Amino acid sequence: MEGFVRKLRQAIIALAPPLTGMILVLATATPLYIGHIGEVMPQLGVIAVFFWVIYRPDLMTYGAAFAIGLVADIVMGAPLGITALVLIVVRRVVLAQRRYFIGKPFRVLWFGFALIALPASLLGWLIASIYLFDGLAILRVLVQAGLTIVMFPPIAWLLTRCQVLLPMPRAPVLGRG
Amino acid sequence: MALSLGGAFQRFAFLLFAGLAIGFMVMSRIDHPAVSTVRTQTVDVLAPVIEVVSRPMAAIDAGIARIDNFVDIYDENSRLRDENERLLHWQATARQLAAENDEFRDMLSTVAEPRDAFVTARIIGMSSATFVRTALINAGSIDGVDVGQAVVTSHGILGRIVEVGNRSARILLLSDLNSRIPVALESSRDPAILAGDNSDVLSLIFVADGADIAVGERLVTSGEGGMLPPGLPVGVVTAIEDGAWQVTPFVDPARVEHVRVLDYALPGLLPSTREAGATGQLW
Repeated sequence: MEGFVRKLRQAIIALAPPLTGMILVLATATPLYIGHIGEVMPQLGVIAVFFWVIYRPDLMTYGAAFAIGLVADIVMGAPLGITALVLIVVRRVVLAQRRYFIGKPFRVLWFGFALIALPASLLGWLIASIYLFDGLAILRVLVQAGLTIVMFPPIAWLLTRCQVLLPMPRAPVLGRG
Repeated sequence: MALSLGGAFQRFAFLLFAGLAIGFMVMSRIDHPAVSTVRTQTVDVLAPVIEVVSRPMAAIDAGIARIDNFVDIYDENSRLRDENERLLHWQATARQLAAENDEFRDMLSTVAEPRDAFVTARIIGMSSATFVRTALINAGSIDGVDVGQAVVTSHGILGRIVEVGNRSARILLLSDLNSRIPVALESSRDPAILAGDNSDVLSLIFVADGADIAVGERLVTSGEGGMLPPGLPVGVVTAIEDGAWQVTPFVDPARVEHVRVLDYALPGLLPSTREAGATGQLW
């Protein structure tokens, strides 16, 4: 019995990064009616991949990032693979830079995220433009990147709560850094 | 930390998944039927989850809407009184015209328009991507929803159905880059095609030669092609820029909660999903 509980706990831990990513992606697909906020939503999947690659790169694998992106594409009705490709590129870039983020104050983390989020949105825009043979309006992309950057602190705070469950280096929280 | 995986393996994994993503994109591009099947079936499974996730959001929305309503309840009331007065007058006129119309139809032995049945559904998902404008509803083929059907609100047309699962369906909004619907000017009945470009403003293309379009002109569906019922309100011409007509739709997708899916049955125009066992292609 104890062995089973331990195994269950390990399974939950291993699945937490991709599952939290997918839940965030589903949350952005829900309709919002407050003003025009709902028309462009932040890319919360990018936040999940960024956060988990820094703190648990062994659990946020390329496969996990790919799966989160695929769910996003499916739910949004986008061509399959666009968001998936963006997220695995994000994983690769963040993985190469993660040593600069470990143990740094929150504002450094946030700034680093901004440097990743904007190119990530632009990459998605570029791939979609090539796919559609059409230069899409860039304003929405910039708004989306801005929203994603603004949403980083609350989402990172939520993901940090998973520390209760997962052993990982202590993530800094806004206001303490 | 378990990061003992070799760099070579990591590079291989990156290339593998990048290749997989590009493969999926190519399959989407060539409209491989598997893509549509994967999408509709996954959405069918995820629809209840999205609905659950959307509940707290809907509650927050409703709360804010309530406060908004409370603030201008007085003005709203007097405005509605005025409007009601006007509408009662219009109702009388409409009744009279409908009766007259029926009489004329009888005299001319006009072929009757198909009666449209409808399904009411709730919007459970709104695409938030920058390159696609679609919405998900919680009704599917089980409820009689089919590819090509028009989706309307009380203000006018919102879009049409492009993918159907068992219990969910996807609407292509008028503003999507791939949306093209046949419209007519309300005053002159001149035909045109209304095209979306992923922005909030639509544009008119293929306008009939000599059509006189002024700002403020209302557009309705023309019913050409037999896919959409004629006469659904679409939008109003709001600007003319560089010889292009810009149209603001009557329906603001950001404010729609419930929609009606019209079953406008002109048989044989589109292979039905129920008969062909396939779904329509979005991309």
